[in-house]
Amino acid sequence: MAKTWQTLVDEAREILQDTDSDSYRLQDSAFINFMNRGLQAMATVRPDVFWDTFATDNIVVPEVTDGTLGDAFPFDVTFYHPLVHYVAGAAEILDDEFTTDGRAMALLNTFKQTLVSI
Amino acid sequence: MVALSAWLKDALVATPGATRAVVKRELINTAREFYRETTALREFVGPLTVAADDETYDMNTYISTPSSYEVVTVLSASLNQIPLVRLPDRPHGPYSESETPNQYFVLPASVVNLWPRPMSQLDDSLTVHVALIPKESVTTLPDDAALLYYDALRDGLMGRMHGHPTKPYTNPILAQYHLRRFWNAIGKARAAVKTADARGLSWRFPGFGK
Repeated sequence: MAKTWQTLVDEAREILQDTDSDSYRLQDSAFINFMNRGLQAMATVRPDVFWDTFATDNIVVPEVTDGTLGDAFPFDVTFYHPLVHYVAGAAEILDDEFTTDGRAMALLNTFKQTLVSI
Repeated sequence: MVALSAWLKDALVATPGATRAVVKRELINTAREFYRETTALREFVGPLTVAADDETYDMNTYISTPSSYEVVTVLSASLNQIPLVRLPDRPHGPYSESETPNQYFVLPASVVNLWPRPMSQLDDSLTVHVALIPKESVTTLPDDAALLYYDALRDGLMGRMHGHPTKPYTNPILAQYHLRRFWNAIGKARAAVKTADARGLSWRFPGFGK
């Protein structure tokens, strides 16, 4: 099944155990913000991921919106799971409990480590 | 013609986490550098008709595959099978005219400028030997790239990729190893092109000494 921005949100929800659609803890709008921040962080660490978006004199970091959640993930699938980790880690930071801080940092560190090392 | 995928597939093993478009771009850059340094890709252009009062001829418009290659340098030129003398630069002063120009200069890299200017038309008279490099948009390379220079191009590609900073495939030691092999291969290819790859002994004992 082709990956989309929506499947990225869904997989992050699985990590967060926030899959009950009747009572989500976080709405899709929050995840959209996390994804956009993650894309910007990815552009800082790995600008070559956005190679094909280069126009005039710089890369163009895409911005996910409510209306584009169904669009296909435009980059190589190897950069999909780091972004899932980033979104899940960023969502964990919102939770104020001590036990989730460790998970948040682990997920965010995994995001960066996966982009720059094996 | 050989597809770029031959090298791109081999590069998969050593470049985990690489953006494939970047690998392709580096392969093309490697091929351009290799052929620019060795002038191993050559073509005879012509015989072209020299028009009266027209001294400039852009070789890029006459090569057989202008969509894939471009002229990087002019190696030699002849008019009616008589070699033309190459001038290092445009001579000073205005253009003079002649029935049969005997010199030429190249300015810019792909444009042959006859000197003096031809007075009359010379049908099928101009032959030019040029060196080519692949264009940045190329999707295939010449057959000899796979037959003779496969490992050289692979070393150049790997050297460039391993030299990228802060990537999963970054490895400065491997980068130096591959680039050293690449540069050595350029030297060998350049020598082979000069000697037409005649690897046998070309020296013979002079007759007066026998």
